[in-house]
Amino acid sequence: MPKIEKTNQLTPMYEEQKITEHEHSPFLRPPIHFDPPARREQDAAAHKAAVAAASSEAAEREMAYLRGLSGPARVPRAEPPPLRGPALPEDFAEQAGAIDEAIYDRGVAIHRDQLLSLGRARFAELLEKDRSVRSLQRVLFNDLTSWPDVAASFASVSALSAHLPPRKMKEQMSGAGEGREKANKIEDWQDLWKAAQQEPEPVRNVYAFHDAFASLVFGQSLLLQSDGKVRSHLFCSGKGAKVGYFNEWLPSLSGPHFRIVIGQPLFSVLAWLCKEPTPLTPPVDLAADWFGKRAPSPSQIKVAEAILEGWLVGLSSWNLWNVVGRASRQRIDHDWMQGWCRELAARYPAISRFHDGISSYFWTQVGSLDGYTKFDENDYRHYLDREIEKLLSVVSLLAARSVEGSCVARFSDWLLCQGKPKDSLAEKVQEQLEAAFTGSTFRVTMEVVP
Amino acid sequence: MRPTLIFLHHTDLGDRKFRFGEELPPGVLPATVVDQWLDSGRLKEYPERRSLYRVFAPFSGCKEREQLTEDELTSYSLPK
Repeated sequence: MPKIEKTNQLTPMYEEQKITEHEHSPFLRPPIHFDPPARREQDAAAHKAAVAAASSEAAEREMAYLRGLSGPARVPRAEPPPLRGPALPEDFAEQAGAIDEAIYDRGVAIHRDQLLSLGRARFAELLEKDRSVRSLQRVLFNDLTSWPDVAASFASVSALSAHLPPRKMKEQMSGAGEGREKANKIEDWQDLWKAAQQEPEPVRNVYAFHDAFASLVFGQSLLLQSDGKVRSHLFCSGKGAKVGYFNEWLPSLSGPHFRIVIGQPLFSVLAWLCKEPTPLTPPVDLAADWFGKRAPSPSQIKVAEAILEGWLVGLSSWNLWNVVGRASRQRIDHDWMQGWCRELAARYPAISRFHDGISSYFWTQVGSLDGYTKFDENDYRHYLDREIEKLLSVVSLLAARSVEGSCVARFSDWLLCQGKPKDSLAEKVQEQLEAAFTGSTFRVTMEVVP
Repeated sequence: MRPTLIFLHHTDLGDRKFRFGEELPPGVLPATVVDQWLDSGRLKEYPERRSLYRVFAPFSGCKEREQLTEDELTSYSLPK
């Protein structure tokens, strides 16, 4: 048998390769732990806590990301500081309740026959006004007592709009001109004056009819509720158009009555609140100045009064234009009105500063851009109206308290009292008001109801 | 709602003169005369127009009555 030399040669291909298999049993095996159950529970709890912490952290990261997308955190708006208050006794709230209760219980004495006779005369006037509306057939009306019918009649001649310039695209993009767009609409009887540019005479006639109709409805309700005395919560600090309707029916009162009139209480209260030293310029003088007339007409005086009152309560621009139009039923030029407001601001700088100061608290941060703020007109109006109303109510209550039981109705600027007037009563009311509103000036007059 | 009767011509009724578009007070004329005038085109019925005489019956002396709407009562009448 030939001897095979052992060299570096490889194993020949024909020889079957032997594969040796060994069981995997390393000498050094990993140690087997036998943990006690308490330890295992502890580990599980630690694992759960770690997962919860990681989850919470992820949620916080997500929230921070979303906050980052919405912009910086909004700063809450600061509340305006409390306003100056009049010097009142501690139990004034109880006194006020008692005064109103006494006014309600006393009631207003109505002479039924006089009321009926006045009502008949006014009904005849209403028919006459209905006739004059229909006699001019530029606008054809159906039911004059219904706003939808009257609105449809004006719409049929394209007069149901103030015809103010529409908002331009630039204004719409920048958010300007919104007030003008709102002011352009005619939505109620109160806004019908805006149609006077197209149809002046029908508007005048319809207003005359509507006023007579509303007043007659009030008179009829007086008649239906009257059993010699009429009691209503309107007589305890009522306001709005109904006070005017009641004033028109005063000739039907039974027995002697007199009125105590507080002249321009709004100006007196605001001047006291803002420490305005400039005395009130009468609306007649304002009208003469603004319209360039020596003897301004009643309608011009009415415009001056409305602008003054609107400016005093902090109205401006198209809101003021709307309020002045409603009060005077005249359409005035917006730019002229703005100029007159600037004159008022120069004339009464303390009141102007007061409005600027209060309005600065009503700018609210909006949107995602830092420093972008918007004026909250609704909140501002709500706040100012509430505060002024509170002060005017105090004026009326103090005046009612001064007349000692003869007051049968109190409103913001006049009181109705029964009996014969005493000479010194007006001075007494004025003293009481000026004592509570220290340093203020009130103008109180007295007149007998015819 | 009962229709309101409106004059379409100038008409004299006793000492009163009614012009075009005015309302005939309810109950002034007998029903047969009203029918004749409606047929002849002197009067016309307007159901959608309220009668002022009926609305203000205490002041007009009309025997028929018509109620004011809730909205009108809230806006113009004396509250309790």
